[in-house]
Formats: sequence, C-alpha cells, structure tokens
Amino acid sequence: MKHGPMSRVALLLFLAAGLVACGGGSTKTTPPTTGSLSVTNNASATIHEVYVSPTTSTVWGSIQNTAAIAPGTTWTLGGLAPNSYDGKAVSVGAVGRYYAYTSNLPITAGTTYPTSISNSAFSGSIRVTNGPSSSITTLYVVPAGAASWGVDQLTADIPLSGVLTLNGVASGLWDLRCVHLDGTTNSAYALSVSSLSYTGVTCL
Amino acid sequence: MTTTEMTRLLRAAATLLALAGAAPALASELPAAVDQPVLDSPASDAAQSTRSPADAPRRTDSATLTPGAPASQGASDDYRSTDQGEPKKR
Repeated sequence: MKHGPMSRVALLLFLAAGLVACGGGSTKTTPPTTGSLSVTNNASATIHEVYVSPTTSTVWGSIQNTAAIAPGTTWTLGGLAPNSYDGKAVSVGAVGRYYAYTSNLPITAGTTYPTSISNSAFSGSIRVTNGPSSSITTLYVVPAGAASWGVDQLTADIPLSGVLTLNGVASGLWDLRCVHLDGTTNSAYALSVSSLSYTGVTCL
Repeated sequence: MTTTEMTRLLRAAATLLALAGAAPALASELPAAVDQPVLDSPASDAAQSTRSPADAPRRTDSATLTPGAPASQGASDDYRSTDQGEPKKR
C-alpha cells in the first residue's frame, strides 16, 4: 500500500500525540502534598491575627498572617500538611482584643478549604475602671444567674483609678463583682456584652 | 449631690462600719456603674501587629510584616472559664 507525503505527516503527528498522551513526554507533574485554607473576613472589623494549628495540638503557635485582613477580603494560607486544623482570629480594637474560633477544618492535599468569619463569631470585652479609694483585689465575672462567682479573673490587682480590660468574654449577659482591698464590693448584674464591643464598668 | 459623690459617701460609711466591726451587708455591697456596650474602634496601624523575630510565621505569604506595639491601653487579661482548667487553646 502506498502513502502520499501528506498522509505520512498525519501519521507522524498521530504517533507523537499518542506518546504525549501516554506520558512519554518530558514534562512530569508532581501531585500536591499540601492544602490551603482561605479566610474570608465577613465581619465589619479588621482581622489582625490568625492562628492555625492541628486539632490535636494544645497550643496555637505563631501568628500566620503577615498583614491585616480587611473587611470583605480573603486571605489564604498555603503549605498546610493534610490534617484537621483549628483556627483562631483576633481583631484588635482601641480598647479590647476580640476573638473568634473555628475547629476541625479538614485540609486535604491540592485543595483550598474556605472559611468565613462574621461579627457574631467574635467575643466582646469588659473594661473595669477602679475608683480612687481602694485597689480591686478580686474580680468575678460569671454568666448572668450563675450559682456562684467562679474564679478570680485578675492576675494582678487593679490599682487606684486603674483600668483593666477583660477580653474574650462571649456576647451575652454577665454578672460582675469587684472586691476591694478594704473589703467593700461592687456588683453589677445582667450587664450586656456584645461582639467586637467593650462594656464599661466602674467600681468606686 | 451627684451619684458618684453619694457612692463615695456610702463607701466611706461602709468602710467606717467595717472598721467598727459592724458593717451591714447592704452598705458593704454597692452597685457598680455599668455602661452600654460600645463598638470598639479599630486600632491604629502602628499597633496592629506585634511580633518578635522569634515569633515569625511558620508559613509565608506575600504580605509585609508591620511591627508595632499592642493596641490595648492599660492592663488586660483574657477571660477565664469558671470550670476547672482552661478550655483548650482559649
């Protein structure tokens, strides 16, 4: 059987295409070994810090982002080994630091797992101002209606006319008690705490 | 007489009574003045990120690190749960 020049060229092209399709070409693709996590800031406040650590870890580790995440923008963290991760976002206000958490984020190789953070995910803060008469030695803050005052929230006394901001307080209603060095106390009941906000309390 | 002055007067009276060993429960516990929640304003740019070289990120992205000081003024603590021990990572 005879073939013309054009049919030979067509045959060569066909064979070359077959080699490439069978992996006979020089390019070699390496399958991805890591995944990514994207964080979309759907809150009205800027996210300043993001922490990501394996779910089995007991510590958060270092800040992962190197720039703040503005409202309405998305930031992606790559290079994550396939695993289950927890995340923590921090918005730093002029007064308080506000936290949002998420857990059990499944990261798989070659994929990007999307997460988003809204206002309601963030905690609030309580800003306690002491009067000029006596330092505050103990501060109790418990959910409204709790049966007991729980643990002391202070790591150091609040000095005369001093201010302490208690961060990481979930939005909702809280009872608060200031105990002064002179034995007197101030109490507030059902004070309201909101996300990304601080509630001022004065204990004279 | 303002509320603050009245509160101070009550505290002084409570202290005197406590010193005399006869402080009634009502006088020794005064109400705290409570404000409504205030939406916090953003921290200044210079105070948005605090890191030392030892605290560098494990992974890199394309952004630029902006060192700065903590934004919160005065002392601050994180809330501690009333149950025994700290919640995981919080």
